[in-house]
Amino acid sequence: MRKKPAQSVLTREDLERYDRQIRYDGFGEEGQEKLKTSHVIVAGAGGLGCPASTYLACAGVGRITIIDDGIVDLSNLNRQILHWQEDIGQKKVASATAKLARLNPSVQILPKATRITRRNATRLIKGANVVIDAMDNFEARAILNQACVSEGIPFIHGGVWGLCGQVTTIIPGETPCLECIYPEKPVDQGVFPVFGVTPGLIAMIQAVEAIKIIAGFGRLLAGQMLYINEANMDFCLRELIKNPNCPVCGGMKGG
Amino acid sequence: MKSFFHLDVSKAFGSDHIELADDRATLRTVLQEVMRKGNGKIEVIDPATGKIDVDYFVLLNRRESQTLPQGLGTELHEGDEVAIGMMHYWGGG
Repeated sequence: MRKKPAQSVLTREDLERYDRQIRYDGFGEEGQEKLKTSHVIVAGAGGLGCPASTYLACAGVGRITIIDDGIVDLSNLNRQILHWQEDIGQKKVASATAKLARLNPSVQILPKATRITRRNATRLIKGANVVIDAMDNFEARAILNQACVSEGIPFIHGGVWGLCGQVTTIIPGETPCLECIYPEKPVDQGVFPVFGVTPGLIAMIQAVEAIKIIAGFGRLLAGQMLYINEANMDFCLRELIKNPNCPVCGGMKGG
Repeated sequence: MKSFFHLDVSKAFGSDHIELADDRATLRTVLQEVMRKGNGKIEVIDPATGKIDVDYFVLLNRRESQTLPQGLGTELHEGDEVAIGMMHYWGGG
């Protein structure tokens, strides 16, 4: 067992639980301490939110707020891995919180069974280190993008369809925001096809982006969109362009 | 070619690659062939403007096609990589 350093926020159990990642060069106990004292918002407890919050909890993010007003349905279970057969009819945030608390009792899970609106968005995310976009609609993403930009909170966007997915990290004042990338509301296509592995893969990338932001190491997907097509295993990075006249982030420096 | 579409492109194309008869193919030639093989399912070029449709992105060797000096008229060479796909996947799963 690793020796506990003086004045560390890490307990002996932490040092053992996170031993394998603490050994990673450039992360270490300092990185683990940063995770332990951090707060991540996972907006959505579905196909993206379940795996993202699972890996953040495993990694030792001290506080994770999960926001979702949905109820577990049978058709969710091919991909929303924190919701099980016995949870059908339960609130998604309750189901997710129960599993995560058992997975890692040393992290605090804060469930918020609410819909993200223009009125509550800023209040919900205030003080967080990172917000993970695990939502399923354009409107909520646009609201959260605006709130993150105004609060200066990194926002990790992810989206999926079938076997395709995309992910980018938005750093307010530095990178294009979601409004720069998508100035127009896309057509709502209703229920869409999705394999569980697709949001799983995108959510893993979102989770590692959050960990790197908090611990301060590695290179981020900042200003770049990673597109993935698992049907033919195509991966590509696309440079994103900041809109100087963006109504959300246009007045901020950088880009 | 890399593709990022909702649909299974190999099924839509009946193949996982595209052959071009023209030795001096341009980006536009390739995209027109993609559209032809897609049977109307992939409208990469907006017929009204002749430019890339707003719902799509096209990269040549990882560079945004709109930033190429010759645009869609850029000639392709052996080994060039063209990536095309939909701009957005909004599902959260």
